[in-house]
Amino acid sequence: MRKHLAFGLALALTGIVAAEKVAEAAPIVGQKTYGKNFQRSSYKGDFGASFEAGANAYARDYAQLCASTAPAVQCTGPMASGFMGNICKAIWQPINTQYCAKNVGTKMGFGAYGGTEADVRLFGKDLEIFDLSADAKIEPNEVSTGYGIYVAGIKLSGKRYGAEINRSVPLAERTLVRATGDFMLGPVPVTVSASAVGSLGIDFNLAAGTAQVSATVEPYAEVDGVFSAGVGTSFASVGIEGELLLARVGIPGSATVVWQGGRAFQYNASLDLTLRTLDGSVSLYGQVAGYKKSLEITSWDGLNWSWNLGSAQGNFNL
Amino acid sequence: MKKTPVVTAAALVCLAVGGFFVWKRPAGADGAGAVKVTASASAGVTKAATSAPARAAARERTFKRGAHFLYDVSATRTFGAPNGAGGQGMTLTGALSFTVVGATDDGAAVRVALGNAKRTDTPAIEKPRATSADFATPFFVVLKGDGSMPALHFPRTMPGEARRYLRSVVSSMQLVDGGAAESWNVTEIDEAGQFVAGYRRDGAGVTKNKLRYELVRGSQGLVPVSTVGKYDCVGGSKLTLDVASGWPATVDEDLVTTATFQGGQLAMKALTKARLLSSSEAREHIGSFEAAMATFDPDTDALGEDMELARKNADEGLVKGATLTDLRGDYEAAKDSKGRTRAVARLGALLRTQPEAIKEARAALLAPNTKEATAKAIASALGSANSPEAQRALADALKSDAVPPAVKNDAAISLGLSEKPSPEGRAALKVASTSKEPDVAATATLALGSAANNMQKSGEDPKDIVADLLARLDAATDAAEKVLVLDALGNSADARALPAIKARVAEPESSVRAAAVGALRFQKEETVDAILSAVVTDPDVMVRKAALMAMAQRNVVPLLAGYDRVIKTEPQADLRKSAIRVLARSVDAAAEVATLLVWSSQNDPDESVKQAATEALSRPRAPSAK
Repeated sequence: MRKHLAFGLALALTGIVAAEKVAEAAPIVGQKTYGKNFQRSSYKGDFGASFEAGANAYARDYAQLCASTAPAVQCTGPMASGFMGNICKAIWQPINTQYCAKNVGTKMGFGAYGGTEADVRLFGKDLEIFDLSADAKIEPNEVSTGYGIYVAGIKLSGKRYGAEINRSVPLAERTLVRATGDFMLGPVPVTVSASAVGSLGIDFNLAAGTAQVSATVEPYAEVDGVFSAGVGTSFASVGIEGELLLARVGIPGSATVVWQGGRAFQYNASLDLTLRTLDGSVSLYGQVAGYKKSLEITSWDGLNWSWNLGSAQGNFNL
Repeated sequence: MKKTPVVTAAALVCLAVGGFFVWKRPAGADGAGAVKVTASASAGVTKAATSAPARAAARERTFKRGAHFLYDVSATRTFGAPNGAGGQGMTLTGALSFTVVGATDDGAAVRVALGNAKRTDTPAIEKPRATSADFATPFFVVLKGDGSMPALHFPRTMPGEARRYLRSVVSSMQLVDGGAAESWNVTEIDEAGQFVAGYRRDGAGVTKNKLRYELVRGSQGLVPVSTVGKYDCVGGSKLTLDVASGWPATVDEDLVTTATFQGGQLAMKALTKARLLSSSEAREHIGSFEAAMATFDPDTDALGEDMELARKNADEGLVKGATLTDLRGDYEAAKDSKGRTRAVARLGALLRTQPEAIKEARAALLAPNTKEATAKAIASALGSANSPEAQRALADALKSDAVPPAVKNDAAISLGLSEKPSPEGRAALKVASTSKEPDVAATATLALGSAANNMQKSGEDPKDIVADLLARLDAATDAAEKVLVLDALGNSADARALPAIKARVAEPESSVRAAAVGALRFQKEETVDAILSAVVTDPDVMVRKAALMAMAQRNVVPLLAGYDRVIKTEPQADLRKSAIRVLARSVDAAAEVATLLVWSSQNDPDESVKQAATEALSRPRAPSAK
């Protein structure tokens, strides 16, 4: 425990200073990543969304990593001695220790992961709304699979499993983010509320065998902005209502990495995506002479994207 | 814009004829008439008001105790869409009197009363919150020497709605002197906020326009307009003066204020017409200000209750009179996610506004014949009700053997997200965190962390939850358990968890390390930024990914060194893109953010990363954030 704490403190004390110097460090060899990734965003005024998705496979050779991250390799030139040298070693020694600790057994680590993240602009503020991911990995000291569903930084659902898991985790539609504001318009108090309401879920099939790791992940999100406004006056029948489709996103992706012995690997990653966003309207409604009338005051045209991003596959050596 | 330094007076309705009124504070308590507003106005009764050129001879005026001005007033305020459609109007008519009754440190105390007050709503409404009688209740204003109105005093018994409409009328008649200038701008306050008024002499009178609102009144007090959106004012008012008294002879206001917010727009049209009927002396009210002081409501605007009503009305607007059965039917009949989402939003609004519906929701949640998806939706909606009764229903679901695990998961999430976690809800989560159902146990554990976070936000100390989680972490032997508890501690944001989290940042098992790094996301201690900036070079991609996830929840500026490392040295393009997505949210936070994005757009080895950085730089900023 004490060792861990000391490491944490060392990182804390040296992180920022050393960060400026890390870019000068020698290249780290022994790890590669391949995959298919996607990023798109769409903004209109106070509303918008930004999406990111990917399916990736990676592999590492701890023998090479152990060698190339040694402080003696990384801390050279002005970083070899003195105060900066101490800082450099404080940074690299624990990292090197971690790599070298895995330089045992197969000396290989490989894995696959996939998922999606999104920000929405609601109330003129950019908020991280969801982060859905799943992964599977084999390390010399660890075989595990797992998933996570985060909303606005809070982990709602997630768990680590053993070598294999095939699950579907659908969460009920719920208010993910709700923001309210109030103001006076003349003598009328007005409260407006914008909520991101929707369902999130993730289907995954994760397997970490002896020589192959695969992650087939399909995160999905269906999120709508629901607007309402009310007045704190006698004429309560006047208000605002509206809906804005923030995201309909389904991202089936898969990544597989197969160890072929030695330092040779084969990978396959694929990603498809359908995305629809920013579609809807906001209306004023009023109860006039016994009849409810509605008047559209803002609307969005909607954006539809559908991509078959295809797959990428190949062989590589670490 | 030039303003005479010694300027002067004119109180609420005191126009600077020629620009030289002077407010003089009483020199002493002479009791009889020491509210010395040196006045040229005759003390006697003057019948009809007479308009006069604004450039009448300069004069000095005092407010005389007992001076009494009576206006015939008609004021209509119509609230609706920007084009006037769908509006709801309220017209207030009566004889509005202003009587100088005393002095305060800030200016003259003036009693205001709307005689023969009549309220007319178009279309008619059944139960107005303020009746005509409420509008007739006298109140007081303090009029400063510069013509501004630093204070209004309403009796506690006067409904907020009456206060705001009367304030609106009185503010419409407000005029601040500009001395000898042809035009001048003044910052004033009305019922809606603080605005800049532009005055211009216009023939026999003065034209007043609201140039812009700077601050808007809300339940938190006066806040910058940008926090709401945008206010636009079109039109204004014209005032002419009574030669004898210097008070306005006529006021004609035609003003439309449009508020633009969150994609919506609403407008308020103000039509005010006031005619001075007479000026006279009414000494019977002298001293009434001091006598009434004990009845003044320190909460002048009394907005709290009406803002709460506005929130309730907003929810009721969503519910539209539907019952739980209706909304449950809507949910089950919905053919797409939009329909289901809307039904759940309306269910939440129903449970917030009609607590009696919670019993019915509880019954549906626990009933074995309720469809699983419907039960999950009800569990979710109960979470947004944020009441102890709703949490009790969710706790019952967690405890029930008849409720399927998938529904329990949603019930646990809802309990964790409740703004004020109840003891009953917390206890149910604690029991569920050891459930034989592994998923329920995991979700309840995470929810305990969320509940601890929400307890802190609502002023409670979640020490028991945090202590339990820390003990569980210490006792954990396998990686999966460590990860789960670290995730829960991460949700909690509790500082007491920080040493244990920091200690796991160097765990040999990468999944534990990733969970520990991720659990730093809400920790406020400054060293956390340094740790995150350092661990972005961790050997394991999942740890680096967790570091970026944690960084995304924090202020960008203290993490610039970390972002610099990610942007320039992170080997994986997808993680560099994640950093760009987060930086794009904070382009205005520091110059270095844009510098990093520019560097990436020009130097990143991956074209798609370059493109993401370019897009981030060109992304339109939110209008309300400008």
